[in-house]
Amino acid sequence: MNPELIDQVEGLSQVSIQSKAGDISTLAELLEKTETMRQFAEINGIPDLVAPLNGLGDYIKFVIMGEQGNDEESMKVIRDTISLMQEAIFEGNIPPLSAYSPVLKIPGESPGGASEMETEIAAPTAGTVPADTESEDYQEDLNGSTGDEITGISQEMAQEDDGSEGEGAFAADKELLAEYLEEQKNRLEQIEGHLLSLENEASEGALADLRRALHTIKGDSGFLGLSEVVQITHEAETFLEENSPPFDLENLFAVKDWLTRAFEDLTANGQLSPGTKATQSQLLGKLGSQAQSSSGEEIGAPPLEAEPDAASLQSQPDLPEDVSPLEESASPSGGKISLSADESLLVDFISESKEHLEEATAQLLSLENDPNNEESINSVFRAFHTLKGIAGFLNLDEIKVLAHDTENLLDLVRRRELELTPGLTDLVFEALDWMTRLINNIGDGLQSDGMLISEPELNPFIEKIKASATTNGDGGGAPGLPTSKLGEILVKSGAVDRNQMNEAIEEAKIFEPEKKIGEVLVEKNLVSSETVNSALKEQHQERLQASRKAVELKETLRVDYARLENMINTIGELVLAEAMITQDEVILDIHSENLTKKLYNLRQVSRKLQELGTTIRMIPISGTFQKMARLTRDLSRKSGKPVLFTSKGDETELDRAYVDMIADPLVHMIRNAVDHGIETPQERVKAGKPEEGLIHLRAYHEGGNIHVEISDDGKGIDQEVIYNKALEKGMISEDEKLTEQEIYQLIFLPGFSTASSVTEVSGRGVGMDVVRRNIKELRGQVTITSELGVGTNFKIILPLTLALIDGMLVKSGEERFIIPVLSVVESIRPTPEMLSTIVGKGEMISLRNRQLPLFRLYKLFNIQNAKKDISDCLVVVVENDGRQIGIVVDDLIGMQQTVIKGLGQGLIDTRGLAGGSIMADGLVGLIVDIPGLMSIARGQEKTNIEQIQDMGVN
Amino acid sequence: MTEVRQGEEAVQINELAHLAGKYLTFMLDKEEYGLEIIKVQEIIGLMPITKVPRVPKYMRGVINLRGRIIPTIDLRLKFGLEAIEDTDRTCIIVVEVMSAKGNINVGIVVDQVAEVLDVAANEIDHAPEFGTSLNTEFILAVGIVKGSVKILLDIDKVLTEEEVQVVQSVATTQS
Repeated sequence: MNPELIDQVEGLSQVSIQSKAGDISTLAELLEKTETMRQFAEINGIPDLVAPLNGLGDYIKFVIMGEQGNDEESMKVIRDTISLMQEAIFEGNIPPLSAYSPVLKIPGESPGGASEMETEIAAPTAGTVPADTESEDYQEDLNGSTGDEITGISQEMAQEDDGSEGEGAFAADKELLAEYLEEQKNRLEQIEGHLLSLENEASEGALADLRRALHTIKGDSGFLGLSEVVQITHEAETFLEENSPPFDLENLFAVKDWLTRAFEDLTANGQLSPGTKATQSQLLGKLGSQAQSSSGEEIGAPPLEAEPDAASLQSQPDLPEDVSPLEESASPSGGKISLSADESLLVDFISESKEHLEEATAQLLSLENDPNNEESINSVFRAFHTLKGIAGFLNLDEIKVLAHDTENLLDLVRRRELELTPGLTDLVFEALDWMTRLINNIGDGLQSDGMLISEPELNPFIEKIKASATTNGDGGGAPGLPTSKLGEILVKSGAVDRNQMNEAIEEAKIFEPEKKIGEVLVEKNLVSSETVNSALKEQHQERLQASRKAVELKETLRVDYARLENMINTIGELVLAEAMITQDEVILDIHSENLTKKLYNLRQVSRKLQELGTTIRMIPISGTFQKMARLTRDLSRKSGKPVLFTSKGDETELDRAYVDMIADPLVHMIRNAVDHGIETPQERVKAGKPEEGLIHLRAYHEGGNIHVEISDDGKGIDQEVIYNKALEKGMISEDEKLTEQEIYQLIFLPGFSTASSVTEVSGRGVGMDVVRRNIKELRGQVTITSELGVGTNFKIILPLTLALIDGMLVKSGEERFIIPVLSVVESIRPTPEMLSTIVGKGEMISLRNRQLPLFRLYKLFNIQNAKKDISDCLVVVVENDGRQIGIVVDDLIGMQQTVIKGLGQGLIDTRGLAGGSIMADGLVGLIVDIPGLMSIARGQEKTNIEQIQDMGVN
Repeated sequence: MTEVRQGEEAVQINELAHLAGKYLTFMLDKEEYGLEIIKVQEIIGLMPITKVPRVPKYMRGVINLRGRIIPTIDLRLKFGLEAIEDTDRTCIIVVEVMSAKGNINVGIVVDQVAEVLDVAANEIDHAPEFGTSLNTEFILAVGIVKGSVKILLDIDKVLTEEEVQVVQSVATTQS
C-alpha cells in the first residue's frame, strides 16, 4: 500500500494512543490528522477510507464540542476505528463499512454490501451522527438546537453581533447625543457668525446660511426627540421667513443663547434644566408674537404662537402621542440613588443593553407589519427579560421594574392573551425609550458623581403598562419566562404533547395561578418529577449558555476610529511605497528571477492589505435603515398618512464615515416623501391606490459605487409646477431650456419649495439643500426620476469609500490631473466635424444631437504648454447636477485607484480641486473637483486669490 | 513725560522676555530670519514640487512628505522679494502652523538654512513701525545677536490668518 498512507495512519494511531479523554489539544491534533488523511484518501481515490475517516472526523468534532461524551469510552471508539483502518491499510483487508459503525451512522446489523458509491455519498451526511447508543441523545441535541428557544437565542446573538457596530440605536442614545452635541457646537458658532454679519449687513447669503443651520439643528433635534429645541428652531425659522431684513436681531441672539444653554444642559445632564425650559416658553412667546405682529399671517405652527407653552404642544391632537420620554419629562428629576455595582460591570451593562434595545426596536418595527411573528415577539420579550436579569443583579431597580412590567405585558402578547394593537406597540416603544433614558442615566451617573438620578415620571408610566397588561389580558399571567419556557422544553423532549401542555397551562391559570407549571404537570401525572427536574436543568443550562455567549460577544474589540483611520492611512502609504519600489528604474533594470518573485510577493501582500484596509471600515447600512424605519413610522403617525416602510439590501456595506453623513440627507428625503410625496388616504383611494403609502429604501453596490434609493408611491413631482415656481422665484430665466433632470435638480436649490404651507416637517426649501450639500461632501450624486401620480425615486450614488477614489489620470501640458470616474460620462477623441463655436469663442461639441460646452483645462487652470488643437486632444464629458460639459485635456494616461488626501486646505484656496494623491512616482497628483471646476468654468465665482491677482500682485 | 516713556519701554522689553529661546535662522536674500524652534518639524532638501493651479505665485505647490501632502510656499515671493533660481542650498523647512482648522504642516522654501541660535531676552527688541508702508504684524520681534539683525517671524501669522492682508500690504509696498 501507499507508504504515505501508512505513515499517516501510524501517526494517527500514535496520537490516539497518547490522547486522554478530556484533553482537547490532542483531540484537535487528532482531528487535524484525520482531516489530512481524508483529503489524501480522497485525492488518491480510496473510497474505502474516505467514509470512515469522514465519520471519524465528525465523531472527534462531537467529542471536542462536548456533544459526545468526552470520556474514555469515546476515546476507545476513536482508537478502535483507527486500528481498524490500520489493519485495512497494512493487510489490504478491507472491513465492511458496518465495522465502522461506532463512528458512522450505519446500523451495525445492516449489510456491508451497500455499494461504494452509495456509502461514499451517504458517509458525509450519515457520518455526522454518531453510534446507535448515542444517536438518540444526539438526535435530541439536534432537535434541541433547532428548537425555537435555542435558535432564538443564538439568532439573537448573531444578530447582535452583526448589529453591534451598526450604531443603530435610534432613541436618544448616548453616543448619538454626544455626536449631536459635538455637531451643534460648530453650528452655534456658525449661527453666531451669521447673526453678527447680519447685524452689519443684511446679506442674503448669511440669511440663507442661518436658516440652513437652524433647520439642520431642528432636524437633528427632532430625531433625538428634543422637542424644546425643535420648537425654538422652528419658531426662529418661521420668524426669519416672516420678516425680511433689516429686522430686530435681538430675539435671534436670544435663540442662539438659549440653544447654547440647552446644549450645555444636555451635555451635563442629558436633559434640559427647568430654568432652561422656562426661558424656552418665554422665548417662544416672544418669537411667536413678533412673527405674528409683523405678518399677521397664519403660519404652520399654530400651537406655538397661540399658546407659547411647551406643554400645550403635546396636547395638540395632530402631534404624536408617542412622544419620547425626553419630551415628557417636564418636571425636574427627583432624588438620586447611589450606583452600588461595580463600575466596569455597569459600563458593560450599558453597552450590552444598547444592543438589546436596538434588537428589540428592530423586531418591534417588524411586528408592526407582521403582528403575528412569534420570533419577533420573543425577541422583544427576551430583550426585556435579559435586561431585567442583569439590572436585578446590578441593583438597578428602576430598570428592573420597568423591564419586569414590560416583560409581563409582552408575555401576554406572546401567549396570545393580548393582541398587539398599535396602541400597545406605541406603549412598548415608549418603554424602550424609557429604557434608553434610564440606561443613559447610568452613564451620566458614572461620569459625574456616581449617583443615579431617579425618574419620578417613571412610575406613572409603569402604572400605565401594568394597567394595559391587566385591562386587556386575563390579569392572571404569571410573571415571566419560566412557565411557558419550561413547557416548551417538556413538549420538545416529548414528555408531554402540546395539547396536554396547553390544557395544563389553561387549568393552572384558572385554578391554581400560584402554582408553577411543572408542579401542575406532575400533579396531573403527565410527567414525572424527574423529567421536570431535568427540564429545569436544561432550562438553566440554556440560560447559562446564553449568558456565556453574551460574554463572548463582548470580546469584539472596539477600536478608536482615529486609530483605525491611522492604520488605513499607513496601509495606503505602504502600498505607495511598494509601487515606488517595484516601479523604480533601478529595480526594473535588475533582471533577476528571484527578485521578481520577491517583488511579486510583496505586491500581493500589500494589495491584500489594501483590500483589508478598505473593507475594515465598512459596516452594514442596516443601522441607518432602522433609524429611517422608525422615522417613517413617527412621521406617518404625525401626518395621519399610513405609510409602509420596506427596505432591501440592509446588509450592504459602506464606509463607516458615510453612515453618519448619509443619515441626514435620508432624514430630509423621507420627510419630504411623507409630507409631499405620499397623498392622504382619501386622495390615494380616489387615485386607485392602496390607502397605505409605501416608502422603499434600497441599497446596493454597482460598478464600484454604492447606490441608495428612496422611492415612494406618492403623487410624483410635477415638472411644470417646479419650473413655474423656479421662474416665479427668479431662480431661472425664461429663456433657459432645461432637461427633465435639470428641472428636478431645481428642488435642491436653497429656498426652493413648492409647499404652500409650512409644517413642522417640511416646506421651507431648506431640507433638500442640506441633502445636496451632504452628498456633495461625500463626492456623491443624486438623481431623481418621477412619474406623475405614480411615485418618485431618489437615487444617491456614492463612491465605495471616502478614502479611495477611482480616477482617470489625464495630462494637460506638463501637469497631471485625476478626474473622479464617478463624474465622468464618457471620453472621446473629437473629430473636426463635431466641433463648432459661437461668435468665435464659445466652443461646443456635438454629441448625439446635444451641444455641450467645451472648456479647456489649461485655460481654467492656467497651465503652460498644453496642446492647442482640440482635434488632437481628448474631451472628457463630465456631469454634475444633471449638467454636462466637456473638458479638454491633452491625453489620457490611465485609470487609477488612489487614496485621497487633503491639500492643506484652509491655507490655500483649492477651488476646482478635491484633493491630492501620491502617485506611483512619488509626486503629488491633483484630483479635480468637478462641481468646483464647473463653477470656475461658468465664471460665476471669483476667488479672493483671483481678485488679488486682478489687482496686479506678483 | 520722558520718564513715563522710559517706564513703558522697560515694561515692553520685559513683555518680550518670553520670546527668548532657540531659533532656527535662515537666509532670504541678504536678510536673516528666525523661526521659533518648536514650530520647526524638519528641514529637507528641495524636492519635486507639484504645481497647484489657481493659487498665487508664492505658492510653489505641494510636496509628498512620506505620504503626507504638504503645501509649500516660497517665502521670497511671499515677502515680495525677487525670485531667484533654486540652488543646491535651497531647502524646505517644514513648520507646523496653527490655523482655524487646527494645526497644519507647511513647507517654506528658503535660500539656505543658517544656524540654530540662542536669543537672550536682552537681545530682543520690538520690530520698528513703518506705518502703512510696511505691515510688520507677522514679525514677533527683532533680535540683535553679536551685532547682526535677525528678524524673528510669527510664522502662524505669515502663513495663515493674515495671509491676504500680508499679500495686500506687499502689494501696496510694491505699487
